[in-house]
Amino acid sequence: MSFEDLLGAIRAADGDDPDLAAATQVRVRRSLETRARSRHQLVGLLTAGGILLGGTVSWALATGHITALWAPAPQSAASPASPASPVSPDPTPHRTPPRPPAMAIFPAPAPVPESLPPATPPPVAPPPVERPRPRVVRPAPPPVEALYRRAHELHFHGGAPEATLATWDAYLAAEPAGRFSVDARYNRALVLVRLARYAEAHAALLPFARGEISPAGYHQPEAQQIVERLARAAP
Amino acid sequence: MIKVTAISMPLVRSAMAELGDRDLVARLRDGDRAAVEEVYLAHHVAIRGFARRLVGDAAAAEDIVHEAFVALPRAIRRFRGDSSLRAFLIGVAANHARRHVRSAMRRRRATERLAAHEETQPRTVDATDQLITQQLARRLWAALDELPIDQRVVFVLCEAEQRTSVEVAEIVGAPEGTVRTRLFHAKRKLREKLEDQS
Repeated sequence: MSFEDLLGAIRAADGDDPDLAAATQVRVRRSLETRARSRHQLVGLLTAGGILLGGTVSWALATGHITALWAPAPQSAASPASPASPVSPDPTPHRTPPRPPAMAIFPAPAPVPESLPPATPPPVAPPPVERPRPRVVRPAPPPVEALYRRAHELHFHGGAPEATLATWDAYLAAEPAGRFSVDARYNRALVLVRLARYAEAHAALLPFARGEISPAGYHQPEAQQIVERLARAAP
Repeated sequence: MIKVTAISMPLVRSAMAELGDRDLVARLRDGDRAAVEEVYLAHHVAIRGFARRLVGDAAAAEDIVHEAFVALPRAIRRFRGDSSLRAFLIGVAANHARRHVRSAMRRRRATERLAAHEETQPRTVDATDQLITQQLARRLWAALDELPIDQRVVFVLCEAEQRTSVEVAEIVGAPEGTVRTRLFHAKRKLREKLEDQS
């Protein structure tokens, strides 16, 4: 048997098979239809996605939310500050025991300077990876409320008694029957005691000691004690 | 007096086929699915014949034909018109043949015992001739299973389909010298295999 005999045997395998040809033709047609359908579905999905994205961007541009839309993803507050983080870039071993996570997340606030009103945030340096937030413009507190805050700050955080009294007076002049008027009147009376203006202090505290102030009983026991002591001290 | 130039019919047919190919290629590039059907009707016999000679398995050959025509709308972007559309299609089929060659090889090995049993059954003269032909073909395909796919494709195209090395170079997209080298190595290995068997 020669090499040519073998080749002749392979040459005899031809492709003329009508039944198989028809079956494969149908198979090819179906495959092409399926592929075209899949492509149409993909195009539809991409179009819908594009419309959604375009609409979102348009809305964000129109409403001014574009900065919030493009802001980076929020990061975990614990990971940058936590010394026990497994991805810490610092290769040196920790010689001090790691601080508890709560300490790292909420650092102790620095002392507030007396000149600042309590509404202002404490001057603590922000965490290094603070998420940039869109600026929220808060309305400034009304002047009367600012007066009260200022007086409160001076009263409880070592302000000069004269200045404190002047601020309480200013607040009460601006809002004689406001939300904080009763508290302001009581505190003003205490400042009078500190200024040794006992007669005025006695007169101011007497309604509190008698329970004549609404809400009833507001600082009444303390007021009674101070009034009694003032009465004893009076010449 | 008008001088009539004699034109041979094969040349006319070739020119007509080339014009038809151009039209089909343009429609294929436009995504016309009907053009794929027309190409199928025009060339499926040649593609199926090549696939059968290559893998020696009717089912695997049908899979190759199917994949080649399904891939045609995308593959046609690579067609530059240097060869005929049929030659290009055979190249596409050859590219899809790799895994089918392997599956056909596995099937052939699995059915070797059954084929040996069939050969022992009594036959008529015609059936015996056919059986001998099948037996010879199986021997050659078994030897072809030992060749790398590139050498196998070149061998089938050059020896079984009796194409020129220029044609085969266009089909497989390799230089003519590479085709000749592949063919040389394929024939040498096949002779060694067949001598070992006998």
